[in-house]
Amino acid sequence: MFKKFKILIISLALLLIVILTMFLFQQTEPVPFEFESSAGIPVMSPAIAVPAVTLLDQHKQAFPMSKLKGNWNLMFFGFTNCPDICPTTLTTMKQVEKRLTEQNFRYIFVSLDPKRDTSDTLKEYMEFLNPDFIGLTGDKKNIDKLTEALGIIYDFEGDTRADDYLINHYAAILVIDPQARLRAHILPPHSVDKVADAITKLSHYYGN
Amino acid sequence: MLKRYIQATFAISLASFSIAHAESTITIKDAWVRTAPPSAKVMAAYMTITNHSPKTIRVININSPQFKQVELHQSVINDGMMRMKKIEPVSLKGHQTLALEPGGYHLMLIKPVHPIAKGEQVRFNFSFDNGDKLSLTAQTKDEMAHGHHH
Repeated sequence: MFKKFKILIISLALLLIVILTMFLFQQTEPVPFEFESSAGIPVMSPAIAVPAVTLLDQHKQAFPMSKLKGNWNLMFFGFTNCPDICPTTLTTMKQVEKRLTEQNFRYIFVSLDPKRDTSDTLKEYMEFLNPDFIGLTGDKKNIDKLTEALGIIYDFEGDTRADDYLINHYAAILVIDPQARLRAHILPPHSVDKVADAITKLSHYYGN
Repeated sequence: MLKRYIQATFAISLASFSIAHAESTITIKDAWVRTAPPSAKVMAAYMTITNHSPKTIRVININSPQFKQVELHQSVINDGMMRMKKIEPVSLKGHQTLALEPGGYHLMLIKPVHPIAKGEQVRFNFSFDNGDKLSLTAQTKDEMAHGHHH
């Protein structure tokens, strides 16, 4: 009898803790926006802060990650010697930009190959694909701080000394919110509809 | 002696006939090369390859006078991770159509001999293990032709 009572008390206490936690949580973080599970757009809740590193853009200007603030951003990691998937994804992002032209979204390409992708290489690449896009490179150490925090895994395949190598890499497009926090991953394959829908819904739901 | 010579000629003409005829066993269409910045060291080409014969045919060689090396690769997504898989040997099963499209199979064009400009025709030579040879040109352009979007 006493044992049953004890279980009841513990259960109620646990329930209270859960309710309190949920209440506290709601104050700092809205109920997570959810896409259909088949959409391939996992949303981070709470959002993950982008580490405060500084990279270099294609105009050789310092780009501290605090610059991500104020707008919603789509960020993709790759390398300019990538023949298929990087140009495919960046072309998709360019079409998304065209479709959502009234929105002030930023489109960012971060190189995972600073050895070959200098600012000049990136400048040529971005000018070719879309001069509006921001191309980032920098110290491998800083790039790795960023990739580790954001869950961008990659590895080199081939002879890195002979500059004859490819990079296998995580190919999701990251959605970074106006507080410079990782809000969602848009997993490949990427259609223009999927990417445009994801950023539109997320920016409406979470606001600026 | 003469008879043998005639026989040999006949055999040769038969062989050349079969080569000419075999050209239709494999067809390649909708070939295009994706534009890249002038300093690009790698590019990609896309096309649709069909084996019309009932037999498996292997691709022995693919080359282009405009590139040092041409390889068939496949971009494979696994847990969001994109890997490039070199396909070797490249073989087409009987009546198989292999579609090379952005984000999937593609010809990886390694080290252009000179920068490939938009609009330039790129020549490809294919040879197959059944003795077939196929040459084609593909135009360099920004995107896939309309009607092929997915």
